[in-house]
Amino acid sequence: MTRLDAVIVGGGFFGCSIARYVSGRMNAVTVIEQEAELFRHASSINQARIHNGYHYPRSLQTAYRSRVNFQSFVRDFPECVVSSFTQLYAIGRRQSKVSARQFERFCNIVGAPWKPARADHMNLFDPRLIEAAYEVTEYAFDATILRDTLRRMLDSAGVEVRLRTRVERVETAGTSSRVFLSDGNELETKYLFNCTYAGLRHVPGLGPQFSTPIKQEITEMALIEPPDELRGLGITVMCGPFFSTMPFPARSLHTLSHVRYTPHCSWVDSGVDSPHPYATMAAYAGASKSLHMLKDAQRYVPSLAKARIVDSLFEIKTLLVRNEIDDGRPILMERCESPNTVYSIMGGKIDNIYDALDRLKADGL
Amino acid sequence: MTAPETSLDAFVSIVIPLCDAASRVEELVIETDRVVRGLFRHYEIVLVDDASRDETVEIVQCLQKSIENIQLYCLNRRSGLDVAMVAGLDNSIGDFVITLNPETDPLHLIPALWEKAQNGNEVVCGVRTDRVNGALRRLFYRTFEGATGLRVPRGISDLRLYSRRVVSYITQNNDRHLLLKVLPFFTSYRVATVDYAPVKRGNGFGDRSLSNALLSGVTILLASSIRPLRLLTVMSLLASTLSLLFAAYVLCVALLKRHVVEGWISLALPMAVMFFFLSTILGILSEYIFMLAQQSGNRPVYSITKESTSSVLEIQRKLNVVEGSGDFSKR
Repeated sequence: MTRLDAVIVGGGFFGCSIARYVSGRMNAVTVIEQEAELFRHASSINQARIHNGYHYPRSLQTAYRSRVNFQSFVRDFPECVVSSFTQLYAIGRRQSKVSARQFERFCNIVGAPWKPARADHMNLFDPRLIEAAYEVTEYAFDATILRDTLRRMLDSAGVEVRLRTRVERVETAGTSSRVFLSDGNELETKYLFNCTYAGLRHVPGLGPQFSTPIKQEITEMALIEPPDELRGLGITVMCGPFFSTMPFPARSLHTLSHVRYTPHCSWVDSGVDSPHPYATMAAYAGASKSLHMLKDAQRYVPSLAKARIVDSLFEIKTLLVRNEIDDGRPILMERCESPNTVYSIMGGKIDNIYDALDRLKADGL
Repeated sequence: MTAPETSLDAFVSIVIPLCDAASRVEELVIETDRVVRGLFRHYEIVLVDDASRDETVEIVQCLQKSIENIQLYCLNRRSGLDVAMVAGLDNSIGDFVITLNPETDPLHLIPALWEKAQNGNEVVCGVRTDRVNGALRRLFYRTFEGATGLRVPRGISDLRLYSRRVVSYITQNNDRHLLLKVLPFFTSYRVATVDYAPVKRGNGFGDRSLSNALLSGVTILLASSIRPLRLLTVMSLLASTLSLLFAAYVLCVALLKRHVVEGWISLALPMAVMFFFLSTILGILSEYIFMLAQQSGNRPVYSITKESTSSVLEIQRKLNVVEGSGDFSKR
């Protein structure tokens, strides 16, 4: 048996960042990842948007934090940031939960920079469906570079990364946790961090302490080859059953996601006894909705008719049940103290990591 | 019927307005799904609930858990078949949009509509064989053609297929909810028709009484043409000219004739002058209303209070297959 100070289950962006953070305060730190590579799920398969607040006109709290975290992320990972495109936020004329005037006021309140979109950009939209469009400061990140950066950081901090390894079972042993791995090894650790995102409720032995209800959603994001006039552009239509298309640096394509068609189905996760969300997704047989997304989007941006659908990315999105009704995207941070210390941490957005690290710091870690 | 080759690429929306249809909506949706599933690879069934007072919405939301590609829009208040139809058209995303009245239109005609669209027609219209003849209908069609100069097939119904180009044209009109029946004929799209006898499923949208039909006929006439207003201007001008002539006649009588009944001049002259002013005012007003009518109508004709989408979880049906697969590298 190996004795460690901290074991982090899950090698996504949250797991790696937390491993890096605690390695500055502890000696023996190990990351356990079931896949053959870090960042194989939600950390890579998302819109690659570094949020800067614009997305949350109905949740000032989330917007403020987003603004702060944006600056930290851009400062800490400059090599991953892709800023070589223009990000446009357009306001839908019908069915939008926010008007152009409200959006401007909201941006001013949270101090998010904006200016009216250029005339040639305005011409991309159907004026009957789009009320206004704004050029804003928001970037994308390259998940591949981010993964390599984190891997380098972990290596230089002396953090051990065990790939292709699953946690079979966790047991409490006095003041520490015993972690039984799929390769037969056994670890004993003072601190245990569950950063498995979709698998949060599926680490055997870590179920009963934590009870915040979480919801799993099978989502689809289309990858498209945009027409020339949209190549250097990201477009997000707010705020209702609309869509978003923006550069996806890791594949040199654009993502296309749609509030109506991206979520395929969802269920409230009932824990270890129910099928693992990734197994559920692997068995999911629903047809792609990429054409639905494109057909709807080209009503708003007619030149999207020339876009070519290249691929679709399916991934599990994990949400707190309480956020179904509002825009807020807080992180979930559960802590179980006696007698061993176990954290269960789940964040909805990549730049939320700073909120998690601040909390760990406040806990004296 | 096997799907033609091009149907593989086309995205088709089927718009069905619903009103108090709880008793028949399930059968309708299942049947529609069966018909379009075999015909198209990419499709959506757009249901527009016209503020039903029964469980129509709940039943549809329940069906969304087992049938894919059902899109439901709920209107905030009862607005009638045409407005519900317009809401469906506005929000449909297909390259082709099929609309139908769920109470009367047979679903087995969808392949026939589609076949005609394949031949290059941009509008395919159902023609109800029971609505082709009748004196009032003939009068309506003749007056309509006279007022607008458009030719419309006799007996057209709500069973339609539009190309995206036609839908875009329709959605550009602010008064499309008034004119939906005839709008596609305003431009020279290629039109084909499909004859059919209506079925009777229910009457959620109410029976069409004679007075309703007359009212809607007058509405279509007035909304599709502002020539009646021009007629008013011409009549006012005519009346004011006649009043002026009459005033001149009264003056002549007053000056030239000796024995006039007492009080006639003081009664007739002011009346003639007043009628001159009145008809001139009416004429000018009608011209301004004419101009306003050309520009007006920026009100939204409906607002959507709720929408929901199919959410089919295949896994619920095959839990046993999943258990213990353990392969997480897929996708």
